[in-house]
Amino acid sequence: MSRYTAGPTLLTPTAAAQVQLDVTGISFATWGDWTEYIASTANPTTLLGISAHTNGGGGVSAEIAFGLGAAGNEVEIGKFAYHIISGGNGGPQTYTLQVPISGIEAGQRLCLRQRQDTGTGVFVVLHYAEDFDSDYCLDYDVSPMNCLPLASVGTSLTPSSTAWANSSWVELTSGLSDAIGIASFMLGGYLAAANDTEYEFDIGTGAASSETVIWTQPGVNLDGVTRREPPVDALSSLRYVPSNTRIAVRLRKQGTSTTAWTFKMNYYGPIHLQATGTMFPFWGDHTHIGGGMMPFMG
Amino acid sequence: MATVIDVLQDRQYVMPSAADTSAVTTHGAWTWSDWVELEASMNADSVLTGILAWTNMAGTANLNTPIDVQIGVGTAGNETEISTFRTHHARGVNDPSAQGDVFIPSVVGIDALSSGDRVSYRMQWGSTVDPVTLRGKATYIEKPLTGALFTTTDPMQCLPFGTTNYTLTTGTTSYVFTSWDEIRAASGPSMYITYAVVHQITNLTLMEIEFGIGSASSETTIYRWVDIGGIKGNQSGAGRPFYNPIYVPANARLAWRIRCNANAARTATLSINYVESITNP
Repeated sequence: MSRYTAGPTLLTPTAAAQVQLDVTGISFATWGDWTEYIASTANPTTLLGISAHTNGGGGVSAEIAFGLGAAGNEVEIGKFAYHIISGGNGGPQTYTLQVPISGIEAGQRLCLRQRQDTGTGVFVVLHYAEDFDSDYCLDYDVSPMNCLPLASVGTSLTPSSTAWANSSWVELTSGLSDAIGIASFMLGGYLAAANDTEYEFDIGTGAASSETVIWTQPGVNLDGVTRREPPVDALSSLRYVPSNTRIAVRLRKQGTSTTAWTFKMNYYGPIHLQATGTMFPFWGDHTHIGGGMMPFMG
Repeated sequence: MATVIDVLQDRQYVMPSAADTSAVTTHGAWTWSDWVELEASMNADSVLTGILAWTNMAGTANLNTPIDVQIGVGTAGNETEISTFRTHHARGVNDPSAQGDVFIPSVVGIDALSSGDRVSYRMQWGSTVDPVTLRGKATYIEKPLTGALFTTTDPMQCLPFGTTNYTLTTGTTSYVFTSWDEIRAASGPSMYITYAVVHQITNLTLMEIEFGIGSASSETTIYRWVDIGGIKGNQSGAGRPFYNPIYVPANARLAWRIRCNANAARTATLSINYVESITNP
């Protein structure tokens, strides 16, 4: 077993129109209804990501959730924040899961749902594999995927009025009860004053005013008005953060605009670090396989 | 079931940091720019983890062109390539900001930076619009690693290199695959594909793309994914990182094909980034 794959990988729907996720009356306070993608998984199934668009609608800041279960009894097994770029502007519209979500056994009904800020329709194609040949994945009932902050476009970051000067640190969490692996970042919102702006943000851990930078990510906001900015800035591998650790973010950028930016973070957890020489794999307490599902946080 | 994977415990840095991207100027289609310094001297042996490449040129013309970004080490005038990434620039009329990829994670870290190295980059692209300022940064993690990172001592490479992308055009019936188009003949070392850019120019076209291996007319699909075209056309440059890199065995012929949702001919182009080995697969 290995991290790489020799395939094959699959899509649903395939050779057919994309499926629109339910959008009736949704907001960040109200999830859309579950939309069925696979009536019954034919084999053990691993989720690899999605491709999404708004069919010409505007950009959307969304949380996309995966669920299992019979109609009316779906249980969420993981979710992630995703910036779906305005349908007018192309660009990357596929979110590849940094670590595929595994542990879905044969015979499961698989669904997706969303909540978001604009009520715009979102059309999604699901990328997945059956009997995935890589073990670089995490079971949904061991280390589910999640995001923070939940149910909002993100934590507000007010930039410095001096080019490339750091903003203040803004807390993402005072500490999660479990250790996590950070997967990706979503920097966005309506950044009308910040088109074509190069930026960097730091992720820091530690007490307020004593943060230690653990990750620096560069990027370019191409056009915030129509959300051409990158939907995510992804890490090549998960970045471990211990439990009960305060996590904060700060921003620096070109220009003098102080228009606020927004920030969200996707992660997997809980994870448990195991020191084995030079390797630091992690695993979870795998208390359940198949059948029912454990309730999901958030 | 999979419950054990590697995880990073190390900081990612940027070069240059807290400053504008370093700029290079094109010298014509598929001609390298001069090398431009990213870092005067590395503090420690390091692993290259990604690049950022873009341009903010005015959108006076439709420009759809691949860009090769090369990272090198060495003193000025003596730079040696350690990796080449391919990305895509796409920009439409009156849409000066629209383009495809900006930051490309290496997925497999390039373990080729030594303490004291001067690090530079250069670019070439396929457009005859010249000169144009292209802009870049790079990210890295210093060694020794505390956590675990997927690495290689081989360079990142791209296909095609120094020329236009592979191109396919569908027929006029929806969801009918094109014929397979060869990317690599049945010779050469193993490949681990880490990134692909598909560019297409028609609004909201749902394009399914497949990689296949095997002799001509006997290809077996190993990977399928979707790209969605931008509504204004010309702006899609949808790159996809493969965090589980796609393995192509040594001496295997690699090909690709497409199909789409339109009952009309649609064209897509493709490029890939790959490494030939992984230290800790």
